[in-house]
Amino acid sequence: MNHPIPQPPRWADRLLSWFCRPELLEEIQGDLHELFELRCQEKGPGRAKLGFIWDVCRSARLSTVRFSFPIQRSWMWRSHFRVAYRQLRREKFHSFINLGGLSLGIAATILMLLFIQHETQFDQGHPRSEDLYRVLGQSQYHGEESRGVHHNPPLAEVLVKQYQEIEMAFRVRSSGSRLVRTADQTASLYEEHFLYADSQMLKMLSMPLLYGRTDQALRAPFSVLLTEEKAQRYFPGEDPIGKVLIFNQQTDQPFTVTGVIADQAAPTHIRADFILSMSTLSESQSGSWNISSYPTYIRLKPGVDPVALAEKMQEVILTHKKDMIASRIAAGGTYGYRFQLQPIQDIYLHSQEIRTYDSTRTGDIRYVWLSGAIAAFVLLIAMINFVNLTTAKSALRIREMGIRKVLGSRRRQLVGQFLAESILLSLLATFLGACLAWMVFPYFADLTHRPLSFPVDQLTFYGGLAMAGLLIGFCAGAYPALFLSGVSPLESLKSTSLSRPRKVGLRSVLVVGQFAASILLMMATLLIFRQMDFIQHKSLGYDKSQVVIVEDEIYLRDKREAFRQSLQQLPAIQEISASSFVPVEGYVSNGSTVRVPDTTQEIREIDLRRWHVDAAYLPTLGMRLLAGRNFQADLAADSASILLNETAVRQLGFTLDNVLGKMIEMRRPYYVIGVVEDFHFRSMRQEISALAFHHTRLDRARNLLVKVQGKALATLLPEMEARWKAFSPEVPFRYAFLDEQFERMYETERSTGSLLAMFAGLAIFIACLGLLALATYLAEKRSREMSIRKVLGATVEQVFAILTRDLLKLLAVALLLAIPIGLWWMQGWLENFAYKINLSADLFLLPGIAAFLIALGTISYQAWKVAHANPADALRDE
Amino acid sequence: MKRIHLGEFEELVLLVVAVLKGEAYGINVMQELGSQANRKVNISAVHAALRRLEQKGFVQSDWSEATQSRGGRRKRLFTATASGMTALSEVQQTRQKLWSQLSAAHPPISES
Repeated sequence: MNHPIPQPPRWADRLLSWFCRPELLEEIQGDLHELFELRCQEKGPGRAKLGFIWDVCRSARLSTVRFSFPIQRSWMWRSHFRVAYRQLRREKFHSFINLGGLSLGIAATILMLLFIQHETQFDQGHPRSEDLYRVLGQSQYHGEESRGVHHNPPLAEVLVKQYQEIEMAFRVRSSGSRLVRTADQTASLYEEHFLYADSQMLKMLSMPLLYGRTDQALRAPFSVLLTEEKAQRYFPGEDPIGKVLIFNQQTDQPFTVTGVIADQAAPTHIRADFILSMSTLSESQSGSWNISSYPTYIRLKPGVDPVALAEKMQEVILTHKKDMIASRIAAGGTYGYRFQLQPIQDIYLHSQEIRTYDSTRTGDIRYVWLSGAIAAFVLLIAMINFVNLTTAKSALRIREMGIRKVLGSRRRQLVGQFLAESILLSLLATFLGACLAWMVFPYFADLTHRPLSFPVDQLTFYGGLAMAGLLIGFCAGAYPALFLSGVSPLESLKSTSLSRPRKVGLRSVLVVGQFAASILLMMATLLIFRQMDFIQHKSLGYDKSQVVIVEDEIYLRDKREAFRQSLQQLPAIQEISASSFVPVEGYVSNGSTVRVPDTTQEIREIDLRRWHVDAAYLPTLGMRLLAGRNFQADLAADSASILLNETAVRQLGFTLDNVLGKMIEMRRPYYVIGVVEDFHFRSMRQEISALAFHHTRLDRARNLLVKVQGKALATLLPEMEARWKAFSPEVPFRYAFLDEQFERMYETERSTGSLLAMFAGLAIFIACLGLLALATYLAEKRSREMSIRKVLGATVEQVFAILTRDLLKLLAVALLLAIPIGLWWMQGWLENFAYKINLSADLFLLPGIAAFLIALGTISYQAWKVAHANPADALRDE
Repeated sequence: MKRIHLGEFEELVLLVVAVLKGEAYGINVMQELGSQANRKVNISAVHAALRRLEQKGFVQSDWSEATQSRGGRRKRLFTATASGMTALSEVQQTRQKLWSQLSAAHPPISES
């Protein structure tokens, strides 16, 4: 034969020899080779080779390969889980602590993750969200940068026309609250969250309409869009398109419903229950470059660089505000206005420094990080417990491992045994944790002030839980598994290794970590509570107690005077003042701002807020005059008079002695007649700014402020409401307490504080569980040593000290570790507040001492038991 | 006693082994299945079926002498055991019994 005999491919042959079980190899390989030869004759070598490769592949069956897969060894896993279950039952105390700690940790993590998920979902779901931006204007006053969102009415249109990169734009304008009724009702309801918007908003944001047409809904003047919820309220069970709503009793200007926004609209930072068509507002069509009250959103073409575009947009300012800039520069000032583009996806969490408008929801990225950190801390502490307890018990299990090894267990099997144990435990803990989270969820949602929902109906949630359970079990079990399975059987069976705990180093590190984390959480809690306490008790410059705000009294119209007089007759009422301005956030407190020339330096200007109040305002709110006099009740006499606060006096370059009678030019001259002591009219996060009081006409004031005497509030309110109803049955009577409104400014801090307190408590509890188990174990292990010490003459106190010393040393290290981290965080957090407490040593020491005492309490029972035990008991069974 | 189940494909393979009378091994079983029962199967399927039959005790195997082809490897020759033959006839009887009831209860298929 000249031709070489064709051979099957070598590699396929080798592959077969590699995977095939040896006892089957000869038969299979023989048959395949024979088939190859047959096919060579029939179909030629090429096809035969392919057929051979195919046969090799097909021969790789579970029954022929020489490896076994976990799935085939289910008996092994069954055995692992059975042993694990017995282990859990035998060590009830340890199992309970492990399971309890882990369940608590997992419950806390689930809740925190739900919160984080809610906070990060805003504005992610619009069509091409990544190309949507909000236009920011950055300006500089007094060298201080500030960023705002309000722009001139024509800006949106000019931008789209002038720049190819911009596809579309829309403007909004927040429009506060209104009284709402349908055409056939007489009584109105008070509704918040009104917003004017351009019709492009419906195209650019994901706002599916339940009724109405996206391209039509916001075009015509006096159109209104409702949310599904509000549509249900006013037009239950019917299609509201074409129906009419009356706002603020203005029957001559009815609004037509042109659409209903479906509830499943993607979450967005823009909060609006009633969207009015922008064309209703004549100011928005004015083309004026002097008004700036329009937040503007744009959509860019894909791939446009927003930074470069913002730079280019500068031209718009230079062309349209030429005169203003020129006059500013002529006066020796500068004009530093710049555009920036803020991605819409960042708005919800990253707008703390931006002066935004009323109709926005804002979160805070710092609280997202804080929640994430807390969740991670608590879970970590629980997992450390697990690792600690398992390795601590290792001395007992080491002998078991030795025997298993002698009997032929491989290391892999031992690792499997430990992993099975920890996975079983963590799955159980995940289940319990999820149940626990579900139970406390309503309270948690309440505490966060967010409309959270528990995803009981989502499969991914359960999938995530199962994965998390496996992962936690794996992570927590990996170290003990590798460490315990690695001991040599010989050493493990020698009795010496029983008495010496191994790897104390790592365990100490873990305990230190646990306590450092707990102490940190306690420090944070203490700081937040201190600061809140400080704010509540700091002198505000006015008296917020016993003041009722009668809101929207302006809607009584011509009956206001009569209503006020009927209130005056009530003996419990001390003072009544009419003003739109209330010194807490949520009301008009900004006022309009004017630039007043500084007397000392001609070119400098100050921002002066102007509040319009009446003569009763100061006595009603208990504000103090430092110089001069209050307004007189007679308006005519004081129409050109103003009162300044201390800050305004200082910024204008006057002093208390020389300010009275000075003239201040604000379009027309005003004369200073008095100085009011500084008072906090916004939250303590901001510094008090310059403020002027004007005497105003009563019919411009929106609210009534009523100072009430003594404890008459409870009986007075129904009385006031009855009188209100007598004048205006169709307008709802709404009131608020000034001190409650004040508290509302600090809601976030308060809820963060309570959340932190809860989780700090949880963390220290879980850590103590671990410490307790560790102390129990150590006390048991050293009981023989202690007994010998006692026999040799050691006192109870000495024995006690020896047992507690080591653990307390670890605590001290934890405290030292926590202090710098805590210091760094505290300084960062306090920077939010213009008025804040000083950091003092007790902020760090108190949590440390508390942790010390709690830990000492935890371990001392065990130590006491050993110290007082009869030495004979421990030494007898040698 | 637990009855040992005989699958449909196993039954065919077992029949072929019995028919080949001591000469049966992977390849010729596969060929017979193809030519006589019109079942084209991969060799690995035949191997698997033979292994299962052997585990159930319906066939037994012996090594043949080494041959020139197959790279000098031996064949594993299968023969049907007594219990294998019993199992086959049991299946046959069961079917026979059921078929007879079918023909008694209904007219033959060709006339319907």
